[in-house]
Amino acid sequence: MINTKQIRSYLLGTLTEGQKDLEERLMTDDDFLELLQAEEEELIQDYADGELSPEEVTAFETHFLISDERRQKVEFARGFRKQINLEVSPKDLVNPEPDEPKLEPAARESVGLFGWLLNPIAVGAIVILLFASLYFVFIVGWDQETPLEQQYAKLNRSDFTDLSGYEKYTKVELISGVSRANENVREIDVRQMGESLLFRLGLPGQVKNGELFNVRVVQNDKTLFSLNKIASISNPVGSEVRLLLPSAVFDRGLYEIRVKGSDNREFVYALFTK
Amino acid sequence: MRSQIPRGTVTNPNNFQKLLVWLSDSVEESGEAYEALRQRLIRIFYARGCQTAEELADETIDRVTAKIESLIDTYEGDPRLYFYGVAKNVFREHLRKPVHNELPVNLSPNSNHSTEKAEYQDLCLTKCLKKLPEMESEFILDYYKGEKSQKIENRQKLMEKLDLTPQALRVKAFRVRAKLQKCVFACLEMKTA
Repeated sequence: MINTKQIRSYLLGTLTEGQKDLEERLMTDDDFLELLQAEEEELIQDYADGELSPEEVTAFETHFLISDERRQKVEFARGFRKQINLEVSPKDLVNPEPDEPKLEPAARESVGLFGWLLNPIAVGAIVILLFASLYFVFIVGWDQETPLEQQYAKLNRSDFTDLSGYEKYTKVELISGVSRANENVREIDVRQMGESLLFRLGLPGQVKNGELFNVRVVQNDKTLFSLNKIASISNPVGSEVRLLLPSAVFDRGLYEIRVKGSDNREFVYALFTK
Repeated sequence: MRSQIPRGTVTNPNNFQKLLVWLSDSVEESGEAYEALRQRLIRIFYARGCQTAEELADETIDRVTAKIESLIDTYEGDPRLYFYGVAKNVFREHLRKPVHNELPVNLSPNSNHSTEKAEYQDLCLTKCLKKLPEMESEFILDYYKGEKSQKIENRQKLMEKLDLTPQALRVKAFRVRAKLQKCVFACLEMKTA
């Protein structure tokens, strides 16, 4: 019996025994051919998603990725992952709501149209919601995308894995964790900025390729510009977020770029413009 | 990719017809059987690390086609295993040949994938996903949604929902993905045409 692990090893050129059996079955068994083709696609998607082990990545790049067709499939897989992540609804980006407590049938019957008024938790939640709504309307303002944010949201759907087409943009490379007092705060001259700035924000720790982040440009605790669902990109030393931001957002002074992941981890990058 | 007819049939066009008949009794299915055979051979050569897998598969088919008349009379067993035997010989000969492969202009797998092409692929993907029947597009997105443990959990739920074995689920996903991929590649070709 040949399992999918053996098929994967065969495709990566790392199968140590059973090659003849596998190939004879591949030649004569239609279902097995289809299973092998399915495993090829899984392998390609896992590579594009950064889910292969370092040994598998080496075998994939040196042994498997030897045809234009396969390279094209990797590009497809990268685009497909981006598409899947975009299809994820906003509720999937935050922690899921806890399950609704299950009521016994008898209890359900006793709860009428205004039965929730008897539930102190429901009443409390409604009061909190009311205050929160008033706070957002009068203090913060509705968090709606401006036309500029919409324009840049579209621009940032591009694939930034290859930056060779972006030479014309001013590049700003930042690492997180620097503060106002830190000498490493990156300074840029507003007079040298083009219309858009290409940011490369290094992500610390283990971040998967294609993980989604919400990005905000903040000055004096006020959000000036925000973009959602920006996908991380793996680089040789880890991963990063690459994105285009309009230079119009930056005047002079200290800015923070806050990058928040779906698990609420937030990375802060400091930028001083003069 | 080469044309459907093997090179060896240029001198004797009847040989190709005989080869098709040898591969499958049904005239309707013989073309499909031929293409599947070629795909099998290509995969074997690729798995053995041959960059010229398609050429080697065609060479294998040409050699068998050249001998088809005598094979029909004498060979007993699954014809596809005969092709496999010839493929092993072709592979051994390939190993003995000196390699003069030119390096590609760009070594990075991403380098020739322009931003414009990526943007266009995104558009094609959106369009092609919409073209799929709703059940299939929902299925394929559910199948690939999430990472590692979440993905495994999603697939477990799908198996239960659709009452499928892990292998059957994988093949179902492959079929939908292949359909999507075909649509996207055709869409990309239209852009370059």
